[in-house]
Amino acid sequence: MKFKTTAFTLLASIAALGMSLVGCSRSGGESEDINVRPSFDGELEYDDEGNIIFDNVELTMWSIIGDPDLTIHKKLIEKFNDEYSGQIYIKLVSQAHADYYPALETTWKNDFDSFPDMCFMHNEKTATYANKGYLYPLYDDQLKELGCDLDFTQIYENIDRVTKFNGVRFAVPVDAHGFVTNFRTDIILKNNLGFDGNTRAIPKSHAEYQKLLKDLKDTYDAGNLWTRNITKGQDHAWFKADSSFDFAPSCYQSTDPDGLSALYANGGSMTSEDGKTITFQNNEGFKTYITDQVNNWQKGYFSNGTNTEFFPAGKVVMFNEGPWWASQSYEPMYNNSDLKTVNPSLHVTQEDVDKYGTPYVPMHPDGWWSLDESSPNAHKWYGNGHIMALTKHCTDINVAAACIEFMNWYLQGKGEFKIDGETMEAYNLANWCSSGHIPAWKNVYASSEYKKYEATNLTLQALGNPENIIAMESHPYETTIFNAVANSVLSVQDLMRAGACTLADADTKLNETVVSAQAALDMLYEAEEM
Amino acid sequence: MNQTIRLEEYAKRESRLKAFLSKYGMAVLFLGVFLACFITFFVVPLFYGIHISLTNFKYDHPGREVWNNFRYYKMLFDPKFKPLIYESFWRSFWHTIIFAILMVPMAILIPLILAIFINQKPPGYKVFRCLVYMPSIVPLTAAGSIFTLLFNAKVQHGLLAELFPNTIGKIDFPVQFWPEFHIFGASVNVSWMWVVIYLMCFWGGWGGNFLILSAGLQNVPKALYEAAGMDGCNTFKKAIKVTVPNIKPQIVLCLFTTIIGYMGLYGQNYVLAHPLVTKYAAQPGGVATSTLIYFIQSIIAGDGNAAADLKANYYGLAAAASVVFALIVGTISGIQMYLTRDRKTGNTISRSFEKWNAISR
Repeated sequence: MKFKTTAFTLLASIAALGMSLVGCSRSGGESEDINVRPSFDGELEYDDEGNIIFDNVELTMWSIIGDPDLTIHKKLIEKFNDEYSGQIYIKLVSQAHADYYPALETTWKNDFDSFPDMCFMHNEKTATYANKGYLYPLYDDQLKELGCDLDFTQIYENIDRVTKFNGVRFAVPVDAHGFVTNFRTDIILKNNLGFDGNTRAIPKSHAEYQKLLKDLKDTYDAGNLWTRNITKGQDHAWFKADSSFDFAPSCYQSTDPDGLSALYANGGSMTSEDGKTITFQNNEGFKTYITDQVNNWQKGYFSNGTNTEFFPAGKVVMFNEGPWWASQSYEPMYNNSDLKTVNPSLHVTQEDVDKYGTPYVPMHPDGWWSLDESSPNAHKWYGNGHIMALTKHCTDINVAAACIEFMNWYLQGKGEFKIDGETMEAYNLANWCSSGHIPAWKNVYASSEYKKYEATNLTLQALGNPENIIAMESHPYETTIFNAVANSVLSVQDLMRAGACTLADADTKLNETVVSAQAALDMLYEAEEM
Repeated sequence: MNQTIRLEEYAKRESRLKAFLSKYGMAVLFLGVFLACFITFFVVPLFYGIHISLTNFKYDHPGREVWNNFRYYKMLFDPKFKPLIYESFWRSFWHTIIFAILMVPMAILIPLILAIFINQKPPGYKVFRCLVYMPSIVPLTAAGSIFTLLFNAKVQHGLLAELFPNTIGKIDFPVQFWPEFHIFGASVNVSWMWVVIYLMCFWGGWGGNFLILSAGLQNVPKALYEAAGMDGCNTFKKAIKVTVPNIKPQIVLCLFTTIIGYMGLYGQNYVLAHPLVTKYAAQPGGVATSTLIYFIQSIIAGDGNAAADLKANYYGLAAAASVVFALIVGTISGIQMYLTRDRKTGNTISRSFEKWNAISR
């Protein structure tokens, strides 16, 4: 009896301790009303000219930028810290892509003191963290009070749209980027399959894109396809690919950019206006994209091969990849010096040097998925980018003003940089973009210094004009929505890889994915009400 | 007078405390460290988990939860409430159970046969013993890389596919399915990848059981084999009638740990499986090779598909699934312990009789 009482008391105490943990848990800011105007502690001091005086203000910024872009990013932040020595110091915490968002959520909940004052992250996450109450709304008049001299009319609206949630700004865009398709233009031109009298290798419409796939496959099937290996040090002789060569025009296409570009280029959106209903599956452009995938697979246009093995070997002509690889890795690998000088031992002729010396060209989807060439979005494509946002960890007005000062400097400030061997004054943002991003700011894109960067950077050329990028619509459950689109494409491609996919199968998979995602979305909105 | 009584009480208490400390002090000292850890890292989280499963706990804003009327349990047990969650959970459950049913006998039998064989001490048995145990010390991720390289599709130069192009080479393990089937209304996805997971579990798991069973075999009295031999037992009969009954405690231990181990299957599936898209893709445990732990982990870790968003508001669902999982494992272990209990036959009956006899005298 005595033992029972002791055991009961012990268990009851432990239970009480467990329950008390609930009360002890500490999380970040309150978020009942995410749009509430921020109120900061302290006061700002001004000099005679009305500029804010910063006295050794230190702030923490978490950045999602990783290698190789991190080198330029770090240098810029070091430059800022030097220029503002004794006034503002930015403590940069670089978080890998896979760690950034989980760490942000865990830190908010368990270690709020270590939460950053400012986030440098992907733009599509803005609504998610605004909705969670991590970010401050940025009202124009309050930004002015904090020393903001940014002219938001200079931001491309198609990129800016993702930084607003329920009509309120929560972040300031920095840049934009999206996946690109890498082409073997030498194979296209050598086989006389280019456009405009074989002077252009990259297609510019849905019809041209489909024609290119078909022509490549037909030529190969007829035993007439000329191809070659462009791997440095290998034999670069052209040869006719026979049936054992395992050639296919393209690797599988990815959701980003192709699937989403198909949606946006045809006027679609991922969800209804209130964000509660998934709608991408109803868009004709997206449906055609899925149908094309199946048809193209049935016709043998897709290869199961590994991109970086099959592409230089001449076994595929196109594949998708992140843009940063273009100038940093692929250009030196695929447009290598072997191909630019006559070399009989490697079978590089004068004609090869003149016509096919630059076989590798990356490009964003340019009208490839548009069903109506005359529509305003016909040549637009999907991309995301980076933003800067002020978090609720920042409670001191001097820290908030320092964050804004950094935004001013990074986005619209200028400094001296060496471009193409010449030292000149350029936007800091233009310098950042030389790492493989296009600016979200019109004046930076239009600047002659940016154009100089672009002239020598294959990635910037591939990404093109920021005006043509359409950022994802703002959604608090972006992961669920994006994955719904990605999974619908992946599920169809899985069937293809497994060796069985019909149009009916693809349709079933698309519907199943949407039903599943819609159920998850409904649950998420339900939980908000609880 | 009152003071005298108080002093006496104090002296009594003091002496009782001293007596207790001198008697149990050392035990408390040793047990204290364990108990502190056990309570902090097991008992408290257990109660906290039960609490979370019964409230609308929100990961970002703990401390504001209210009673949720068994909402998460309803999701797991009511097929009409949230059909996809229900299906995804029970599908993961059946994946786990079927895998355990197929795995556990092999994970005990093969190591037992190997242990009996090694116990005969054939030439080179020490080397062989090392080789059998070696896979157990290979880290899961390294083993995952090995099996991925082995079973990759032909186009990705999978080693077995290259070696056997007309058989294994024709299977793309990560993406090919056998037809889906149903058990008690729950659909079960049978991906070819389960074969690879099975082989990896088997390869990585036999060493531990082999070691325990080998140790047990060392303690079987030689005299029993001699006696059995004189009674006309052949090698097989000796194994069945002498070896197995004498290493029953080790077999029970292996059975117990193996069942619990495979009920908690997760790591192998995580490192091996391509996240195949199923019709539950946006649900927790939506991948083709999902297990019960996979279902729970996809909410908690926020990996997989929609689970990243579900984590913030549906932590309680993971807690409820964990409670159900604990009950299932507890029930299975209970049944197993009951079935493998020491029955009062032979020596046990004699011992009980002697004990009873001693008391009654």
